[in-house]
Parts: sequence; C-alpha cells; structure tokens
Amino acid sequence: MRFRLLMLLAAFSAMQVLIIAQGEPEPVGAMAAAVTTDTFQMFEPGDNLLSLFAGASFGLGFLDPLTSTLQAPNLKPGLEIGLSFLYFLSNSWAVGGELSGIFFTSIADRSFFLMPIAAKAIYAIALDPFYITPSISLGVAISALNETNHVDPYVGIGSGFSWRPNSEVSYSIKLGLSAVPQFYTDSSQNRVGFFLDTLISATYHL
Amino acid sequence: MTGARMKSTLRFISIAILTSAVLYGCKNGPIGIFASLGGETSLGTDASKGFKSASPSFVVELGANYYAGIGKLWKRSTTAASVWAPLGTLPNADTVYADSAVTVSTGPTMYVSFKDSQGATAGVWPMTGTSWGTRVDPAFPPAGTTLEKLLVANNQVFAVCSTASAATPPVVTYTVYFLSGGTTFTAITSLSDMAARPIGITSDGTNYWLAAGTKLYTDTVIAAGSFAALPDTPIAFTSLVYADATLELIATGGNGKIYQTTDNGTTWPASATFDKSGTAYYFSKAVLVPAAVDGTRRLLVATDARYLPALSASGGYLDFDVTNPAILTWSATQNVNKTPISDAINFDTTIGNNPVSELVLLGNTLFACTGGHGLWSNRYGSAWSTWLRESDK
Repeated sequence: MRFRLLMLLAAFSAMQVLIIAQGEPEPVGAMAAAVTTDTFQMFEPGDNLLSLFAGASFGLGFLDPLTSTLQAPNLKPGLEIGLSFLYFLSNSWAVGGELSGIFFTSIADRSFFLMPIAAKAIYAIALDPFYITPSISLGVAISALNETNHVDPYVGIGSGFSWRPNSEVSYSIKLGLSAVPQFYTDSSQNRVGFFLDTLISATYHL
Repeated sequence: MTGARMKSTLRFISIAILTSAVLYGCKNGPIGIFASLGGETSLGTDASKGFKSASPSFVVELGANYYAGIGKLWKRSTTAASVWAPLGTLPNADTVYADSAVTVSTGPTMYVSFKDSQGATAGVWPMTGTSWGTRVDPAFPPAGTTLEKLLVANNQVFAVCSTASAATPPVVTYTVYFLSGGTTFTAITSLSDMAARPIGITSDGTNYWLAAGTKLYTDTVIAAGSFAALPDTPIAFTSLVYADATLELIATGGNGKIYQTTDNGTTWPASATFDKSGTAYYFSKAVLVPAAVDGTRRLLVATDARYLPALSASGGYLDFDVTNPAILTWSATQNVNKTPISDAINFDTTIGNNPVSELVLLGNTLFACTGGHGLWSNRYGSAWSTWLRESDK
C-alpha cells in the first residue's frame, strides 16, 4: 500500500516536471533568430516529442565499491516500459523528462522492480528522414525487492536511431546504459547496479 | 497569481513531492537490494507451478526413497539429484490423497493414511520395501470419525481421530489410538473424547509424553489403559520434543515462546518472546538436529502464522544452538546468523518469509514443508547445501 502510494507520488511529480518543462519560456530568441532561414530543419526550437517505449532490460552486474568486485546480476531479462517528453531548445538540443518501469525476475524467483525518473537531454543529429539522438539522463531510481524498497541516484547514457516517415511520428530503436549507485548506512551493502536497455519507441511530434 | 509565480509554486510543489517520495520510499531491509540480488544463488531445478505453491503435509523416508504427501503420494530417490513423481501404484481406487504418514523400523514399514476423492478417510495402509500390504484394521477408523493424523514415537504408531457431534455448531472431540501388532488400532481410554487436539507425542525410549491443549500425559507402557495426566502446561503447546536427559522436554507455543521442563512437566520455564517486527512468531513445529549431523546440536523451530495471521508472524524458522541448555537465556540474537545451515540471502529467498508447517530431519537432509510455498531441502555433506527447491521436473 505504502509503495503504491509512493508510485503515485512519483508519477505525479514526473508529470509536474513534464508540464513545467513544456510551459517553460526558454530564452530562444537568439537561437530562433539563428534558424530562421529557408533551410529545412528537422527540429525547431519549441518542438515537443512525446515518446512511448518498451523493450528488454538486462542487468549487467552489481559493483561492490568496497572490494571492487562485480557481482553477477542474477536477473533474468526484464520488461521495460515507459514514456518520455522532450522540448527542443534549439534545432539540435532538447531537454525533458523520462519515466519508466522495469520488471525483473531474479534467479531465485524474486520480483525486482526498478523505476527510473530522470531529467533527460538529447542532441539530435538529423539525417532526414532519419535522426540519431545521443542522450544523457540524470535522476532517481526507485527499486523494490519483496517488501524492501530504496530510492537512489540514477544516471544513464544512450542513443537512439529513428526514422521519421512523416512530420507527426517517428519510430526508433534505442540502446542505453544506466548506473544506479545504492547507498546504505551499512556500507558493506553499498552497490552500483548497471543495466543495459534495448528499446523500441514510437514518438509523436507535438 | 502571475504566470511566473505559478510556475515557481509548481516547481516548489514538485520538488517537495519528489523529496517526500524519496524520503518516504526508503524502507531498508537488513540487506541491500542490489547486494541481496548479487548474492543470490540458484535454488536448484525449477518446479511446476503447482509443485512450487504446494503445501506438503509430510515427508518420510523408507528404504532408498523419500515419500511426501502433496495431495497425492509422491516419491523420489534419496539421491540428491532426483525429482519427485506421483506414486503410480496405490493400494486401491479410494486411496487418492495421502493425508499423513509415519515410518517405523520394523520392516521397515511406512504407514500411510489416505483420503478418498470426497475427502473422507479411506484407511491406513502399510508399505514395506516398495510394496503395499493389506489395509491395517479395516474397521478403523470407526464410523463417524475422521482420521486426523498418524503420529510415531519410539517406533510406536498412534492415530489421532476426531468426532463431530450433531449439535450446531458441532462439538469436535479427539481420541488417540495406538497400533498394536501392526494390525489393530485400539483407543486409549484416558486419551478419548478430549476437547483439544493432540499436537504431538515424544519419547525418550522409555517414557512417552503426549500434549493436547494445556494437558500433558505420560506413561511408559502403551495400552488401552495407558497415560496419566501431568500438571497443566502454561499454554497450549504447538509441538513437543524430547531433547535429552539434561534438557528433557522442549515445547513451543503460538506466542513466540519456547518452554522447557526438567522436572517431568511440573514447571515450564519459558524463553523470551521471539518476534518479527514486534509481532510474536507462531511456532509450529520444532526439530532437533543432533550433533552427529554437522557437529553442532541445534533446535530448529518452524514458524507458521496461518492459524492466527492477525496476531502472529511467520518467518521460516529460528535456529537455536542447544549446546547452551539454559533456555531462559536464549535470545533472538542467537538465530540472526543463519549459517551454517543457510545464510541470510538463501534464507530470505527460499523459506525465510514463508510459513513453515514442519521441518523434518531424515538422515543428513532437512526438509521444510511450507504453507503454499512448496517443499525445500537442505542436505549436509561436507557442508550444508543451503535451502534448495524440491522439484517435480
């Protein structure tokens, strides 16, 4: 019950972040002036991208910082679903937020849930009708195992390769690597978790 | 409110909510989540969904095979790598569900009580080797009674039967029978029509003790006129174990306490209350692991709160070093370290968060019968294997 409430709170917060990001009047005057040319631009300042994505996530291992040993992840491939919202500040740079949930099962049949909530920045490289989007994400990740849960920092890097068949939608494949440092009062329990995400997404150009 | 002020307010609210979520969401366990996952080991061969969620009622050993009551009667070789399969040959068409079983060294023989497809008692059958004998005492149990459980102590088989009156609601009484000559069940007069269900019988090789409710009965000879009552016990015990001449009897309660008597039931000093997050454990059964197994004599006490879920807790089992006989000084810290039988992560990922109805020691192998979480085993070779899932595939 408590954890469900936490999920609702986190989801609500993420929505707020997205709303704020969407409504933020960015100082794009100089940038906008720079792009007011006749040249076709795949993205323009003020463009919004709403993406829904799903795929598989793989635990890569858990690093014990005290012993510098990498423990096996002991996780079967997990199912990941999520959404992201991006707002273009320029023709190439966009910022926004991302919320996802990853459902794992461990080799001991335990259910492990990871929910990253992150601010995200991408740099779009246009290759019309394709574009490539290297990205970086910073935020928090809520992890839950049985009745235990924990909130930790989250950092992710990745890249997407997208095809934009028309002006309204694009389809992407994405690869991401994320790290979740987990800290406890008992430092022997500290670990850094590494995860690899392989995703497909549909993006709506708002 | 201006737009800028509104955005500032929304930003503040969002940060506050996110911060609250972070603080509110931290529910730490004793083991870190990633550390726990990284320390996991395989639980052995996977099992079918039904087998994983089973509630085994018994496990016994006969010859080179283990037998378990998981609805049907199942069997597997005592070889470590073998898997369980339903027994193909049963005494007759009425022997559908294996309800209870005990073994005695005479033969050796396994006695199994079966129920039919309607859940009614079908009777008791003996198995010697891998062959079924003829039904034991075809007139048993008497009409109108239900065979609840077979018990064994000092190679003597007992049967607990219940009778429900015609009143509304029905009044259930219990009668204990003993098996004589391997052929006839005979009621024990002093243990007839008892209001409380007998929970167990134990023996030191000479004396027998039987507990039912707050009553404790004892005798040295088993006959229709056996068993005299000792002083009432402090509470209704959930299990009773004879330890040795020094420790004598150890009993467990549904109140998270362990009791001990060294004066034949006259006094029952109790341990502290063992609890899980402030809720007392409901102790179901205790088993003594003798020093001959791994060098340390220990008492394992299973927890099963299914009877009083609102008032008590389940949490696998508690592990006590019985080298120290002063039970009053036993503390919860004694069982924090699960080694060498298990370790914290193995315990947590297997039976540590589940009700365990019974722990059974057969040779050098411990079996854990859980409530809805399958059957688990832990074999001692040169070290304990830690808990592994028993499988049917």
